[in-house]
Formats: sequence, C-alpha cells, structure tokens
Amino acid sequence: MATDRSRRRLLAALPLVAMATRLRAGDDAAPALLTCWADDPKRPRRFHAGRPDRPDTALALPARGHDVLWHPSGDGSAVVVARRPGRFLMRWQVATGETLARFDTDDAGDDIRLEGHLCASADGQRLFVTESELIAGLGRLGVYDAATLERLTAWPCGGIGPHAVKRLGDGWVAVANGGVLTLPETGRLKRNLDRMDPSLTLIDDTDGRIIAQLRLPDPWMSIRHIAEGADGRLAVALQNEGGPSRPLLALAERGGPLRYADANAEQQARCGGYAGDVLALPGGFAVSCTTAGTTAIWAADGRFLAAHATPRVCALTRAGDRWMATGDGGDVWLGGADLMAAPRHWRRTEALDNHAVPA
Amino acid sequence: MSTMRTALALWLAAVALSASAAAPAPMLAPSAWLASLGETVLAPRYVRLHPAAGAPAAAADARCRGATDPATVLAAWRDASRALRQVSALPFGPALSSRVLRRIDFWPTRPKLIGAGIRRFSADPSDTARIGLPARGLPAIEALVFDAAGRPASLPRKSCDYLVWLATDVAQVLEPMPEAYRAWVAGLRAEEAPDEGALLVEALNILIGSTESFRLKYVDKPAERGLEAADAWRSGATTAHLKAYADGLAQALLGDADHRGFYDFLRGLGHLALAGRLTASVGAVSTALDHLPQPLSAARVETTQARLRALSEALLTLQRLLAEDVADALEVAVGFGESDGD
Repeated sequence: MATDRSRRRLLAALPLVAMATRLRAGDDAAPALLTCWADDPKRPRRFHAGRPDRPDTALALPARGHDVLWHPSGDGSAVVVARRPGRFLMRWQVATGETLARFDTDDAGDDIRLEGHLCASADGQRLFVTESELIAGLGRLGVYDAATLERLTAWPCGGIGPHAVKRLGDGWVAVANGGVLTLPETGRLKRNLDRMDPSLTLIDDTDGRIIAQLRLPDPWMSIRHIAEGADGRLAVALQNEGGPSRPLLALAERGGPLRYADANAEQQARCGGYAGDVLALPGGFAVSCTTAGTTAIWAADGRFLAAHATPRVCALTRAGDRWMATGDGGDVWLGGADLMAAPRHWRRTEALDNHAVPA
Repeated sequence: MSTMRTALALWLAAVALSASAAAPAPMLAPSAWLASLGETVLAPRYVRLHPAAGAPAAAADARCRGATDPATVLAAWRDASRALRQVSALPFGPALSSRVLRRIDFWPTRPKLIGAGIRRFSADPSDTARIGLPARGLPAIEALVFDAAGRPASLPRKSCDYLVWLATDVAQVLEPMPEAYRAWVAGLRAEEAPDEGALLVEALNILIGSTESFRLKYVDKPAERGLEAADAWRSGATTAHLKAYADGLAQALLGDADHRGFYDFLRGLGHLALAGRLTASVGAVSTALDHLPQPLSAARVETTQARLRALSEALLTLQRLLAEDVADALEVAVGFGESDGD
C-alpha cells in the first residue's frame, strides 16, 4: 500500500516536474495545460477537454466540461466531469483522445445531476464526484469505480449545491456545499437565497460518514472551492450571493473554525464578489476573483499580500512552485516565485474553462 | 390606482424602454400571460390528467382479477401518458414547487429497480416508503404492462399487485394538482402586486429548460443510441409523446385563440421581429415533428434517426433564440447559458 501511494504521488507529480523543467529552460510558449474549453466564451458551440496546444487529440464533449483530473492509475488517461446540465463523466486517453469509459446520469439508479468536480480516493480505486438529487436538491458525494466509472454508491454530503470536492492529506474528503438551490427546470436560477446554508463538510472516505461541518457566520457567502496548505490548513474560495462585502477567502486550521482571511475595504473591492478557484502555494493561497479580474494572494496566516490584474481569470493551478491561471478570454498567466511579482501573460484562442491542471 | 396597477404600470414602463418601437399590441404583464396559460391550459390539463392517471389502476386491478381484457390496461396507460406529456413542458408554479413531474415520470426506466420494487412490495405492501422514484411512475407502468413488441406483457401475481399500487400512487400524487393550479391562477390575479420581473425570469428560464430537456432527453437519445432509447418505445407511442410535449411548449410560447402566449408578451413590448422569429422557430419544430414516422419504428432506423437529428437542430435553434436573443432583448438573466460560471 505504501509503495502504491508513493508511486501514485510520484506519477501525480510528474507533470509538475516536467513543467518546472521546461520553464527553467526558458521555454517561451504558454505552459501546457489539461483543461476544458469552448470555441467562444459567450455563445459557445463546441466543447472539448484535453490539451489546448494539441487540439487534434482533444476529446469532443457533448456539453460543457468543468473539472479535469489525471487518472490516479498514472496511465496517461484523465477524467472530465460535466457541470450543468451535468450529465456525463468521461475517462479518456489524453495522448490520443480515445474514450476509455463513460458514465451518463441515465445510468444512475436515481434522479441526479453531476455538479462539476471530482477527486480520487487515497488508494486510487474510486472517484468521488459531487452530485445533487433532483427532487429536493440535496447534495451527495457519488462514489465511482475509477477504472470503469461505474457508480457504486452515493453519500449525503450535508448540504445543498455541492460543488468542489478535494481529498485531504489525512485521507478525508472535503466537500464545498455552496448552499444555493438550483433545479434542472430553471437552470442556474437561484431559488433559496433567503435561506442559504453553505458549509464545508469533511467526510470519511471509507464509509461516507460526515466527520465535521464548518460554517461561516454569513450565510450569503457561498463556499465553492477548496485548497489545502502544506500544513493542513484548509482554504475555501467564496462567492457573495448578495450580502455585504466580505473577503473571498476563508481559512480553517485543522480542527478549528472557518474564519475570513484579512482584506480591508479597498482590497475587498479589488476582489469583487465572485471567486472562481483557490490554490495552495508555498507560503500562501491564490484566489481567482473572476468578475473583478484579479488574482489575489494571501499569506498562509491570512494576511492579504497582493492583487494582480488578470481579467476574467478563473482556473488556478501549480507550475512548480509558481501559480498559473487561465481565463475564458484565452489568457494564461504564470506567476513568479515571488508572490508579489506581476505574472507573465500569454493569449490563446480558446475560451478556457474554469479549472485546469498541468499537462 | 391600486397597488397592483401601479406596480404593473411601472414594471411595463421599465421593460418597454428596451423595446425598439412603440408597442403595436396591448402590453401584457407576465402575471397576465401566466394566468391565462394557467386557466386555459394548465388547470384543464391537470383536471384531465388526474382521472386519466387513475384509470390504469382500475384497469390493472380488473386485469389482475381476470375481469377485463389486457388491452384495457394498455389503452388506459396510453391515455394517461399522453395527458402527462401534454403538461411535461410546462413545470410552472405548482408543478415546479411540488416536483410532481419528476415524481411520476422517472425515465429512462430502470428495470432492475422496478424488479426490486416488486420484491419489496411483495414482501411487505405497507413498506412503500422505501420504494424509490426510479421504480415508480407512468414509465415504470409501461415497462410492466407492455412487452418489447408492444403487446400485453405477462403479469405474474406479484407484478400485478405492484402494478395496481403503482397506478394508485401516481393518481394520489396528482390529486392536489387541479386545485393547486386554480389557486395559482387566483394568486397571479390577486390584488397584491406580483413581482413581475421575477415571474418573467422564472418563466423564460422554464421555457428554455423545457426546450433543452425536450432536445437532450427525448430527441437526442434515440437519435444517437437507437429507438429503444426513446420515450415510450415499448408502447409505440414515441411520436405521439413528442407531439404532445411540443404542443405544451407551443401553447406557452405562442398561445392560441383562447389564451395569450409569450409571443403576445413580446409583441406587447414592441419586439415584433423577435415575436416573428419565435413563431417561425416553433413552426420549424412542428414541421420537423411532422416528418417523423408514426410510430417511430415505421421507417428505417437510419431514416428515423436523421429526422430526429433534424428535430434536434430545430429545437436547438429555438433554445438559442430564447436563451440568447430573447433573453438579451429582455435583459433577463438566463440560467441555461452554456458559458456560465463556477
């Protein structure tokens, strides 16, 4: 088991190592990514997953894809999960574009949609995917066979509107319950803004038991995305659903409560009300403030460090020890080792989707 | 001037500012449009659907006792399911809040779960709370009473008992609906001003969602996977179901001589070109439907799938008209944008 874990960690780290090597070599091309994209940010007609720099091997998707994950087997395949309408989960061989396995919500034993994010279990045998059942909108964590994408079971995740899911270093799984109820009949129309109950739920990935639920004092701050610092500190990126301004990052030390990171009124104004992703960095966290066009950097202890202008930014991922970001305008940014330094910038033609990992 | 009239006048004045020309038709508030739809289409259709949905229970009970021909059950199911499809595209008001359409219309069917439901019911008929929605509803009844060739299926005693319960359950779920729609219409017409903006946003989103659901769920599946992925394939009622669904959508979008449609709302705001395109787009859907064989299996599979793809294209055009051009013109936030966030 320990050997398997080490191997998986090594395999998972390989793209980072390769990218860091390439960057040190002075490669002037935009860093390679595994992500989803569309042909147009406002009126998209075609959707793909794969490497945007290798469109000939891209996987054509039936609708918008959202999160992508290198398969835990390390065989060069990856898995993409749909957001709204949230009907598919697909595993494909990235180098060739060949589909290896597929799950459609019609194959499920109940009335569900997928909510756009996934992670692998510690042993790499299962995938955890956020879902909602479609009668009351209750959130669930779907458990899938990692090889075949067969849906094995589903666990309640303690809230409505689950979105991101992340496996933590201690083996637990964290789910961001956004708290916003939407129904398939009305798309993303928010139906419960007057009674939201967002939470960060920690789940035992062996049996689905809810270990803990963390909440902020302000129910209008929807908890959407999760990162874990090197010291086990949890960070969540937030979206303001109509209440007074708050920082878009909250932190929790293990076993402690969620508390807002620091941000004064001017810093909050630079971040706006919508964070699209969060990333753990050596020494802090990056948050993509999509509508404000800012990538904000906080120190691990919650101090606000910097705000970089990154119009329409959303996806955040690591490139070695640096942060990398993309936006649906095709922008790719690469931060410096110095978190205060302005990022480098490239422009691609694709409308890059909201999440990415190094290729 | 009453509170309602004041609010209505202010709301209409605000949205009319975005129209390109003076209104050539009477302005129509969303509440008036929806009340008209509710009174003339939804309430009567649920009045008809409720007893129609109860008929299979009585027929199934008679069949289980050997007191009627199996064809009676099939006919009762066809009647009930067509009545259901006539409201499937219209989850306004009570249907949305009660989730009734999802409770009685789980599809595609899950034969394994229906089998499990039969076993559970047979073991303890009082333990129905643990029988999930995938093993209930009108599509599950079709899976029990029709065989793959569209003939009456054999019904062992346990299946027969379960069938009677299933049909009774559907009827019970629908029982409150006629009165709920009457109350909904009355509420829309009440003196206290409805939130016209919120009504419009929700209604337009529902219309877009129904168009999308029609395309993805009922048309693209058989177009891509074959006719056994079609709604009501066992009973051969697919084409009739598609037309019933489209009729509901058209009733809301265009209206008719008896009630107002979204078309009238657009014209009232001066969006004549959009209203014209809406009529043409709904007409294109209707034409594509007319080209489908009846039953769906009457033509070669390749021919039928090509015609389904044409229907899908027509529906996609209609969806984009509503979600992009109409929503932009009305400045309505649409929940079905393919580029939305998270």
